[in-house]
Amino acid sequence: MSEMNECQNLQQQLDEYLSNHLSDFAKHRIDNHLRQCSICAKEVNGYKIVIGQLRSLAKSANIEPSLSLEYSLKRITQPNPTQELFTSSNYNVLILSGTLLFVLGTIFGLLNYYGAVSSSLLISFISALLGSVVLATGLIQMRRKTKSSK
Amino acid sequence: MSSDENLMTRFGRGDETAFSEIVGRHQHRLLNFIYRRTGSRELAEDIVQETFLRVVNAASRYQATAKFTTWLYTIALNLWRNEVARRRNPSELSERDRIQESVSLDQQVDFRKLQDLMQDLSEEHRLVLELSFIEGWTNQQIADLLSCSIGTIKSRKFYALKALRKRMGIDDERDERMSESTTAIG
Repeated sequence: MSEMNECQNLQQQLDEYLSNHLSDFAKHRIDNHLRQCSICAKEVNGYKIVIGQLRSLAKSANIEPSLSLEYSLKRITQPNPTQELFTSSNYNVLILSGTLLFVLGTIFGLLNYYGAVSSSLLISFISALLGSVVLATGLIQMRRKTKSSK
Repeated sequence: MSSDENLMTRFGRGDETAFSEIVGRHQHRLLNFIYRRTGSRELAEDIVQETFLRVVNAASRYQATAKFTTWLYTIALNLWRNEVARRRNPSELSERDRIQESVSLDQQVDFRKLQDLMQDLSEEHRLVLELSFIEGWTNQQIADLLSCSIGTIKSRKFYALKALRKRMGIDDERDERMSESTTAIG
């Protein structure tokens, strides 16, 4: 085969040659041609220098992942502990106990106010307040969960 | 060794060790690929973290129709492009974010040299060069990522290589001869 044909063959396969995606036979054929054709050899050598410089700079400028990134990536698949605390069965417990505390606190407060029972008004008030806080927490968390699942 | 696609399928079925393996395989390369665009370690790490978070969220719907790496880099590139669009002025981003204590001086110098070498190239040309010669992707993979033909990828690659050769002061005898003969004919 003439040298001119070999030059054309190189041009057609230059991309694969530079990317190391050629079979051993095809690579050997091009290597042989490069030993005989100074123009092709110079062209290929120019590309190799550019690619070598590109790889070398990219390698030396490489950074390692920080510990915080590695930690964050490990945590991605693990559930958030605060989310884990509020499972759907826990919402029901929160809402029920909150409602119970609120109702009991209010009833005892009213009975105490009208003198039907002689318990402390402060305890009734605290119970009602605590009950409403627990109830509100349960309702808010359930609403958040419903929103995120949509 | 399991393929990325197999690992993703396993992870979609609840095997969390498969996800750890995926992260181990890709986090370093992906981080540097994004870092070369942002010039900021902090921003690159945020994007990598968000990329993997999206992979986790999409795991149950994942279907191995395309190569996993292409999908992963598409997510990361889109996040980076959104970030550029959000900030509007990329130069403002690089000026502020390049003051970094977490990257050594040598690395910063080499990073700057790499940026200088490729400064005349468009983002699309840089992507083709990096993916081909630094990441070792095939033309088909790059074409899938950038949604264009293999012919376009090849042409961008050689345009970029020639531009770099010129920037490095390496003359091209073949090109010179061709331009001489064109002038002679003209």
